[in-house]
Amino acid sequence: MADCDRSLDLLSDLRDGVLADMDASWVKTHLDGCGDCNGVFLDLEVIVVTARTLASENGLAYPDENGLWERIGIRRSNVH
Amino acid sequence: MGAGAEVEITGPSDFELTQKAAGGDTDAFEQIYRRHYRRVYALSLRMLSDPTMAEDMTQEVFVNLFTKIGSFRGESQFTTWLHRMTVNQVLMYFRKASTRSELTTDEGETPVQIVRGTEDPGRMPVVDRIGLENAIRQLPLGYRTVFVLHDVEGYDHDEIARTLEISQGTSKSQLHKARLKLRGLIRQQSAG
Repeated sequence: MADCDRSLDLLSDLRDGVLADMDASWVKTHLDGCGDCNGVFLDLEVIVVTARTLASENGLAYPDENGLWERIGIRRSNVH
Repeated sequence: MGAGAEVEITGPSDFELTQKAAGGDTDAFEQIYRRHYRRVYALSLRMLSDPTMAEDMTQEVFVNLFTKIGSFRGESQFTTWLHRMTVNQVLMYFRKASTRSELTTDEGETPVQIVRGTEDPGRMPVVDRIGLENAIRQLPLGYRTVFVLHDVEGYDHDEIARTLEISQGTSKSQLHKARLKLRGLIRQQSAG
């Protein structure tokens, strides 16, 4: 259980490749023998990979382009 | 750094337009707006998780951009510069709203508990973009900010630490807790 707690604390760093070699080796060995922690690790990987697809601007409902421009224009005239 | 989907640019470059806009050419500024407002809105929406606030923020960013566009020297991509300006403006909003403590602390969140023997690698559903977006909206502000900057927008911990004025350790910790929290939220969504 203590090993699982330690492993869980290190999963993001392992996933991001920023873990020291010794710690990375220890976690990988733990994951090989622990389905619970390995399941969490795989889930985190899915979340991170999916998150990167959100950077795309496609698929969002955008405000009206002209309407928003008009609002900016009103504000801009207030600035000057 | 992720800056979203690239928009095919025809006509004058962003830098050329910024130069004209800095000289008072509002048509050039309007072209800049039409090229990039989606990018600004999308980033604002992900950080604020509220369409109305994101629209207001987009307006504020472009008002601010108009006053500062002369300071863009073309030393970086305009999109990167605008991206950073947007992030800073959202963070300024958070601070004005007295939510800064939520951005800088690890406290106040129940640690994510994993009960040994209850985990099933197959239990988290295949998460799609909508499911993840919904879960992100439910994250506490500090978690959400770090997660969006790192995992969506591609900032590294050093950039996040400088931007949010927190330590890199706090950034890493917030990110890890955010991911675990998202995992739990996604599982809840599927169970509901």
